[in-house]
Amino acid sequence: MAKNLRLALALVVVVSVLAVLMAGCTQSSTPTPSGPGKAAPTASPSGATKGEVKPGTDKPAPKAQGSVERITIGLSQEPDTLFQGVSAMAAAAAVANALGTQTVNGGVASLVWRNDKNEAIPGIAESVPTLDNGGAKYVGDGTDRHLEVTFKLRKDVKWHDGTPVTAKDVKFDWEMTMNPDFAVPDRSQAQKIQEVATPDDYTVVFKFMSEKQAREAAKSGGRLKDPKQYADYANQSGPVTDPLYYRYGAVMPQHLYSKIAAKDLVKSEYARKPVGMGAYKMKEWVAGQSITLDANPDFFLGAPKIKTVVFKIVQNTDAIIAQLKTGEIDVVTEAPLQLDNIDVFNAIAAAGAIKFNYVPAMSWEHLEMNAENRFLKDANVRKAIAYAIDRQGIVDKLLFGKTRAINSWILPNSWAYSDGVTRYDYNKDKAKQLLQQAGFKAGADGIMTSGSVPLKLKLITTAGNTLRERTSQIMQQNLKEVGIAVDLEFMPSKNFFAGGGAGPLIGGTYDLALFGGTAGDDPGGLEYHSKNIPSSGNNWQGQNVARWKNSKNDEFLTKANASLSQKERKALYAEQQRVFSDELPILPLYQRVNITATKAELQNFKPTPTNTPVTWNIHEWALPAN
Amino acid sequence: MHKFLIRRIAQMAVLMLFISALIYLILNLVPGGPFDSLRFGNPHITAEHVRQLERLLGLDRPLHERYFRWLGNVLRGDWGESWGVATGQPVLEIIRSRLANTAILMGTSLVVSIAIAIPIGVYSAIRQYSAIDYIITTFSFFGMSMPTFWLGLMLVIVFAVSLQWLPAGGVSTPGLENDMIDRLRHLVLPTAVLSLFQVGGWSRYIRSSMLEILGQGYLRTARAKGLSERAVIVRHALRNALIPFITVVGLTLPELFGGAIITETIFSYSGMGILYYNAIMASDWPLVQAIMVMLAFLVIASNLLSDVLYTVVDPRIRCD
Repeated sequence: MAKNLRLALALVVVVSVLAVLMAGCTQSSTPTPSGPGKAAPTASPSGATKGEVKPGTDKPAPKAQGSVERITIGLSQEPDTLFQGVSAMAAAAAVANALGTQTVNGGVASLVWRNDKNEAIPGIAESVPTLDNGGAKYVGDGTDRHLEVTFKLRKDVKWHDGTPVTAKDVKFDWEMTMNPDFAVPDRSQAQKIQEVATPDDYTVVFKFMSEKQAREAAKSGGRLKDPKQYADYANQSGPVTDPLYYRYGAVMPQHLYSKIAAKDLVKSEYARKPVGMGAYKMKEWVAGQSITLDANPDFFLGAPKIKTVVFKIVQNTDAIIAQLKTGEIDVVTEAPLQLDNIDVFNAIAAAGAIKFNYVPAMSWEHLEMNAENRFLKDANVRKAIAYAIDRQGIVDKLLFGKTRAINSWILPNSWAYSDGVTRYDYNKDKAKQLLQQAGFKAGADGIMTSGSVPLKLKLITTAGNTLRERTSQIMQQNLKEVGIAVDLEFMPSKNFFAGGGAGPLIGGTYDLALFGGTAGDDPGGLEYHSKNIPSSGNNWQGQNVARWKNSKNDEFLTKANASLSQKERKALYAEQQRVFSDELPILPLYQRVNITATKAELQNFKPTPTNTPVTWNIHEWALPAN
Repeated sequence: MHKFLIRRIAQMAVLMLFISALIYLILNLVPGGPFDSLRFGNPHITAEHVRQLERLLGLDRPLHERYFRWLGNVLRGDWGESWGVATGQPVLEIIRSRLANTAILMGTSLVVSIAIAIPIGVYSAIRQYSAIDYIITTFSFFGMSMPTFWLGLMLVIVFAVSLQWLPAGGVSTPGLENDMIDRLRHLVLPTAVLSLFQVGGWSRYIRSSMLEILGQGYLRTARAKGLSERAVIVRHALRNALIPFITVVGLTLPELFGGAIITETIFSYSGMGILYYNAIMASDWPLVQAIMVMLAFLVIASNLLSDVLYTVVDPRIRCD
């Protein structure tokens, strides 16, 4: 027994020493095919001629020696599925867009794309159909009148298996999106369409619902066989429209996916090895580690310059930054880089090898004020809170001045943004005045009281988000200075955003809540309509968690969302923003910033100020070999 | 012995049934389902849409019905499909894809830890209060008290970022998944962090356990018989000192499956720890349930294993 033990021990020691030695001393002889860690990629002599593409870009062509053969993009999350309608993950969108699989509108598999200036540009479609150019028009009379949008498709777009992309694929994509067995969370746009016609292989006509069809769907349940999903159309007047009508439509490979039952599609191999039409093809997905894509030489805008793209899953911001420094990662996109690390970024950028881009995001932080709270129902109290909070100070101190304090729920870079809003620049005296007007008197401990009730509020935000926690602490201090006592509570996002009466936001049991909001491609804004106040009566529907009711606001929002004329809508949104900022149900804080990092020499990297993933033009990227 | 095993295994089965019900209940009572967070990310998504998605997962059925259906499937070997980490993929396949990585990492660090902890624990017990004992003691406390996330980061900064000797993280370089040397290079830093912590505690454990035995009379007898000092230490002292140590090591066996969340995260080493964390964050209950039930099983099983191993190491102990 003792002998065995000794033998085992000796073996263990020998093995582990060997392992350590081997690992420790072989680093110089490690075969690195692409040079991760050493940035010594092989320049492809033939790459320059092969990579000769001019996909309508005005950027300088890459240097003569061509591009490196392979780049690595760090992903902070592993995509759940590459069925983009199903996934809500930014990481999934980044990969799906490079593959050109069914994707969010405006992505690569769409008829119309969005570029880095947030303009609609032709994608799979030959042109962008609008009411002005005749591509979209109203047809029929009375309650049958409806909108028809006609897209002409390019004839040179092919799926990765060589099959041409045709009108059938567009129609199939819509049918899948509208299939209740396919787990698509957001059908709001697809649902407005009554029928997709395909007069020939390269023409698609989207026929939106007429008033009659909409009302009928609200009764019968329409294509989704569920009247509840069409409840909004019960009293439809006039044809159903969509402000983004010119941009609807994407493709899914009908010849392959239609062979699988809708409910089994997310379980099929295509969830992880989709057949797309984008610049890259799926090569290998090593679960939990990396996704490798190979260039698609037949991409309709020309073969991409970089042969292999590796998405490396690195789930930790510090690790991503470390790997960016060591050269194991060339590009960091989506969300891991945050402003609270900016001093680290500046230090790295100063060394010159890596470039950081700061682009305004489509999301913003705000403070919701529950209008059903005994104090907050008075607009003067809400305004006092706005004046008391030093928003610019928060931006300067916590965000290093890299973004701006905002005054409206519509972001400053949107066409619908209006300057004519009431601004609440930091002013303690005004805050105190407003509180006095609202009938408050300073109590013995400096806290304002109304009657004998002290002005005490609870501010909730999501736990684990340092920036939010610090922001709420500054707010607490700011509000204390004008006599408003605030208790802070940080709760897990799960509880914070929980649905039904139990969730503090949906159930309306909070006083003040600090969190983020996402702006859509279109301003929209119906979430602030009073019909969207969640309550037990409406089964906790809607996101108007400030629980603010204002008939003018409702009217402007309804009209703005029904109109297709941008000029008219702009005026309506300006009116709405005036009312909104005057009553201030929500205090907007600041616009968030998307931070991306790349090797300084990476060319044609164009992050967009939209929700489109940065991989939208990955076919143009080039990283000169040196 | 047979009776003992049968009794313990029967106990295990009852306990597992109880645990599975508890895990299922607690997870499904957590407020908010897997789709709740969707709502605030997109103003178009209504409560009605969320309910429709939940129907597709069968979440509209009553809780007890769902539990028994799940239990029945599990007993037949079907652990269900993921909801959020890898939507639609079989849970078992997802676990399998991470399990090897974790087993390699945790196994290596277990072996390395034992290989280092035993000799230095024994040595510092024999040479109690010598200079080397003090050095080992200091080293042990350093290992035990360094937070893994800090130590991990420091190692990355020194060996990956500054010296560029080793990769900063990952299981392997993408494209080199089957390259043994590349994998070993990726293992060095996480193993060092895990082992340093383990060695610190374990060497102290062995040291005190040895010290207690070194004072025992039977060692004097052994020496009096004329055995070499080496034989006395290894055959008589160490063997007895290892008995309590087996329990300690046995209890870490489930980690071979469960992984180490913090270390895996710092080195972005794709293993069970990160998977478990992701599954919880994504409210991916089928995956969380599978991992928790399997972990619970391993904890119980490794306890049983330690008990059985006792009898092997110490014939005086009998299980009946």
